[in-house]
Amino acid sequence: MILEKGKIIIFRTIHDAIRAEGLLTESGYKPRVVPIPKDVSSDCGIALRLDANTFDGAVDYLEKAGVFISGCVDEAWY
Amino acid sequence: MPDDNTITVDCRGMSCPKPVLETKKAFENLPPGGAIRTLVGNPSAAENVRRAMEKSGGNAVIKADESGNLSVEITKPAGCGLLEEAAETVQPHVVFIASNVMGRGNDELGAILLKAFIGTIKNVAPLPSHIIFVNSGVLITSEDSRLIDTLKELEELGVNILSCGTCLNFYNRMNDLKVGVVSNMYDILNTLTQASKVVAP
Repeated sequence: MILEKGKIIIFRTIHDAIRAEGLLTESGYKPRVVPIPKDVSSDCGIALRLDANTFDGAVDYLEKAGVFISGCVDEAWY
Repeated sequence: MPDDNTITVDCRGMSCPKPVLETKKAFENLPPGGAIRTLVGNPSAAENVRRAMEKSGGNAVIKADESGNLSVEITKPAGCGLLEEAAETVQPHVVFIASNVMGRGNDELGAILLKAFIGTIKNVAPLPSHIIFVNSGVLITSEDSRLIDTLKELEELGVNILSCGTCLNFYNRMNDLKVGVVSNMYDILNTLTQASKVVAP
C-alpha cells in the first residue's frame, strides 16, 4: 500500500496527457493515470500522479519535450 | 441558522480551490447540527463552497452584508453522515474487465481511460470483492506496468484478482501472470452470478 502523498500533473488536453504518459513511462518514470481531482475540475479529465521525489524531474522532462502542463496539485487535495 | 457556536473559516485572499478544501475540512470535523461560516473574497469562491457543501450533505446559503462582504453559512443536518454509513453496508460488487481498453472507439484513448478506471477503484467505497479479467483484459495482468502495483495494492486490501486461463493461454501469457490467480469459466461465472452487481468499464 502506497501511503506517501504524490503530486498530480494536470494537462490542457487528453492528447497532452496521453503523450506525457508515454514519454514518462519510456524514460523510466512511473506515472499513475488518475482522474483530475474533483475539487480542481469537474471535467472528465485525466491527470498523472507522480511520487513526490520524482515529480520535479518529470515536470522538467515534459517541459523540455514541449508538453504543455496546465497545473500541478498535491495529491492530498482530493 | 448559525448561532454563536458557528465556526468561522476565513478564506478571504485564498485562491481556488483552497476555500472549498478548508471548508470541507471544517465540515468533516463538525458535529451534526453544527454550523460553519466561511468568509470568501469573491462570488465564484462563494458559489464553489456552497455547491461543495450541498454535495457533502450540508445546507449552504450565500450571504452578503451591507458592505458587500461575502460569506457562506453552512449547517450540518442531524442525519448527515448516514449516507456514508449506508454505503459501508452495501454488498460487494464485482468489476468485470473484458478488454485492455475502456469503451469502443480510439484504442489509445481507451487504454488511458482503463488505466484511470483501474487506478480509481481503490478510491471508491466499497471495494469490489473481485476484479475479473477476460479476453484482452488479461494483457493487463500479464504485463509489467504501473497498473500491476495498483492491482497488488488492491489485492493486499482483500480484492481477489482473477484472470481467465483460456485467455492467458490464447495470448501465450500463461507464465507471465504478474498479479492475482488464473481462473476458469466455472469460477468466473460463479463469481459473477453471486455478485450484488457487476461493474464493467
